[in-house]
Amino acid sequence: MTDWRPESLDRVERSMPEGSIERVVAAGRLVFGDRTGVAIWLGLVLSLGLCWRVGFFITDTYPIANAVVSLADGRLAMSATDFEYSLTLGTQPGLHRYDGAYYARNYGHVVAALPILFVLETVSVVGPPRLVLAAGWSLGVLLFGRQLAVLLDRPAIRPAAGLVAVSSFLLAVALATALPHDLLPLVALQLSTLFAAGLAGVWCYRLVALFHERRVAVVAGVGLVLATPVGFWATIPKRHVLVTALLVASVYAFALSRTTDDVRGDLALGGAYAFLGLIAWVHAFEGFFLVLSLFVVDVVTEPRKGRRRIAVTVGLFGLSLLPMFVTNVLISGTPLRPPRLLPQVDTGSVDLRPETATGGLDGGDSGANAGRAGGENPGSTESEASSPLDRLVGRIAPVLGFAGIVRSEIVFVGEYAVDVVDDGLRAVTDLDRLWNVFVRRTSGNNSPNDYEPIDLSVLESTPVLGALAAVPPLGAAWLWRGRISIGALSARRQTDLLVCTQAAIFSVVYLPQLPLYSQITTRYLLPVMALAAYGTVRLPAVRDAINTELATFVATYGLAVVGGIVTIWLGLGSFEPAIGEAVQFHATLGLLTGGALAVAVGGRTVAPGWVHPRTVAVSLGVAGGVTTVFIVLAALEYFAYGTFASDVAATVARHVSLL
Amino acid sequence: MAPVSRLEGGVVAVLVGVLLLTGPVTGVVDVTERNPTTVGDGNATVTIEHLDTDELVIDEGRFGAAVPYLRLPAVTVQVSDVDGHPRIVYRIQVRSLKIESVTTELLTAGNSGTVKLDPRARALDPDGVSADRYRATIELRVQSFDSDTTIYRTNETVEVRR
Repeated sequence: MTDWRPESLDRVERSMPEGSIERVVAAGRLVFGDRTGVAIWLGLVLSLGLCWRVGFFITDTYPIANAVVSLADGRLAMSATDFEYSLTLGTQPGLHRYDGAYYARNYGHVVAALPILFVLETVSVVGPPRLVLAAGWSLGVLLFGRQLAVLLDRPAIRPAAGLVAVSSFLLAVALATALPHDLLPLVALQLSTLFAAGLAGVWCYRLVALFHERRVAVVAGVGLVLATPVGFWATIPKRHVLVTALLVASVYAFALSRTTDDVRGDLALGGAYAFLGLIAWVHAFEGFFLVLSLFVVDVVTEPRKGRRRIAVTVGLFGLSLLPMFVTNVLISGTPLRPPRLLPQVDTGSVDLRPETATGGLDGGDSGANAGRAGGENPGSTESEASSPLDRLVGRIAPVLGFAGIVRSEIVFVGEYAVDVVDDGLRAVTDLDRLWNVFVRRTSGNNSPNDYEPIDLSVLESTPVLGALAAVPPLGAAWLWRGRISIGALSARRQTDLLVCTQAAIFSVVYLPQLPLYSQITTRYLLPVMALAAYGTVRLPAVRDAINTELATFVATYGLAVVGGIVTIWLGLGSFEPAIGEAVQFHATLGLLTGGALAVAVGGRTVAPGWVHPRTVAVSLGVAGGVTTVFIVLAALEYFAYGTFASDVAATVARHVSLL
Repeated sequence: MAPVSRLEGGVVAVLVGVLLLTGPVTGVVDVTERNPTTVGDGNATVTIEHLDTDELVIDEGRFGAAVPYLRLPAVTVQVSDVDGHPRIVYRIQVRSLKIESVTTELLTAGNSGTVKLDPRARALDPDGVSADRYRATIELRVQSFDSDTTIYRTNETVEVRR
């Protein structure tokens, strides 16, 4: 690993308290690993920041953003008068009601946005929000230049970055439009997923770097974000990117725990569980199944554990669940019942009347218990103590009651899980569904999207996954050699097993709901696509191509991105396509390039003499570039909503009209 | 190495300096004032240069989009005498298909000359297009908080091409 510490920090250090620089560097190393990790994060965040629209892409974001506003003011429960964005209930799918008060879901995400909001609010005291963002971007460019200058050993990058930073900022000042202060909570929420997208890339880089060459790791880290829909969802503050980042972190921690037996390995294994525990705070359903998969793979591959390892793991996992338990108890009084399982506010009825959230007069309670939460609600069945015996029982009831609640919740969650997996396994045999979700999306209800066919399958949106065509022959060859002993798998094979298990379980539990409208890139499966993207660099044919033909690969990717954007702008633009037509054009591109990559990687795997690594490198670069082009054009052209965070990007988009 | 650090320091100084000058604390300059984004008071002279209503048709989606589309014609207008921040509103309505397309362009003193408003084609319910032709209303207005002038308004027939 290269030295992470910039040399000019020495000067800053003298003006700071003893040891604080060391702590910052240690924290940075913990998160980013090394200088390359920092550069990957900055590069991803800066480039995706240019495609960032401040606004609501999807109505599900309204309640989450409202919750950020409320929680920043110190209120967990919301009343109808607290809604900063979208005043009506009918336009806020994902708003839940309990005991007369409103709650959002995904509180883990809401809390993640709070520190960012705090920084934004503080800096906005000094400068206007629009220029605060522009200044932040320019500062990022400066730091990025410093990292690149060292990594590539090109000192000239630093002054060049300085020039880009100052000129882009001055351009932003000249083009500045007002960004209302009220939008800062939404901006913070969007930054939280943008930062998470960058971290997903960093942690993928670190994961691959454990097992393979550095250049492969860098390509994997950047590719995870720019060659999969992670980049598409980076500034759309849904749960998907956050969950994906935490999941990649968990896989990395698991892999680390398998490479070392010391206390670092114990902490890593605990971390693997803890990251998934945090996912449960964002989305309990996803967290539950991911933890279950990790537990199974962990026990199967490492049945005998030391006492220290067990203690550390249980401790860290328990800690990671605390925020979720506390949030749930504060909302519904039951630790295992997340807001998502509380009655949902009916989006069909749009009620403009202000509702009083106090007392039980407004019927909020009855509404809360009559919802479709499934099963009874143990939290609301409090008995009224009257006789002395009852009073005595009343004393210990909280303890017994709590245990009872936990027990009944575990039964409820268990039955729910069995139902979900049962439905999922039935859906797996539905070939038409599988074809629509993974290969070519043709059927499905488009009416909620104004009939626009804007939903893509997994392969249409992520053609790099075409490389996985090489998995069946590789798997068959591996089985043929008959070396299957799960207890004696290497660290990388154990990680493969974990990734496959988690991807399979995650797909199975979501399959019954798919194909679904407003998924764009089959977003429910975004974490699966990230795991699958890791799978592509585990293929020898892909690694081989990146290692031996890196220049060809990078040149092809760059050419595909620049050439693709210009060609589509000039070529497709002359047809004045509707948004659905443009997206379907990308679907075709995705299928063609994904298919070509499948042939190249499959061919190289089965008959290495027939396919040159350069062919694999070229088809990989083109397939990755196709997704990047979609990410860029989707943000700049196809999906017009809100206002660009960067006025420079807004000006470019205005003058380069395609649709 | 030292001059580069100084350059970077200079960049940071520019960032901080501009933020301070334009921010709420000092409030020396409001840089966002010059670039309004919302309609205000005002008026403008707008004349239609090009509008081909024959382009208003319903046809099948291309590039694998298997839904019918309502194609909406672009309009090119000449803008002069812009006063304040009015906006152009270009509205096409097909009532029986429940389609209302509104495209707006904010005008500022700077953007006199030719302005093009190009609404996107709209996808239609495949089961909803049963007739051979539909009636549409096309309307062009100059609008602001203190004025609202209709420049052009016509009823058109939308042909369904199958």
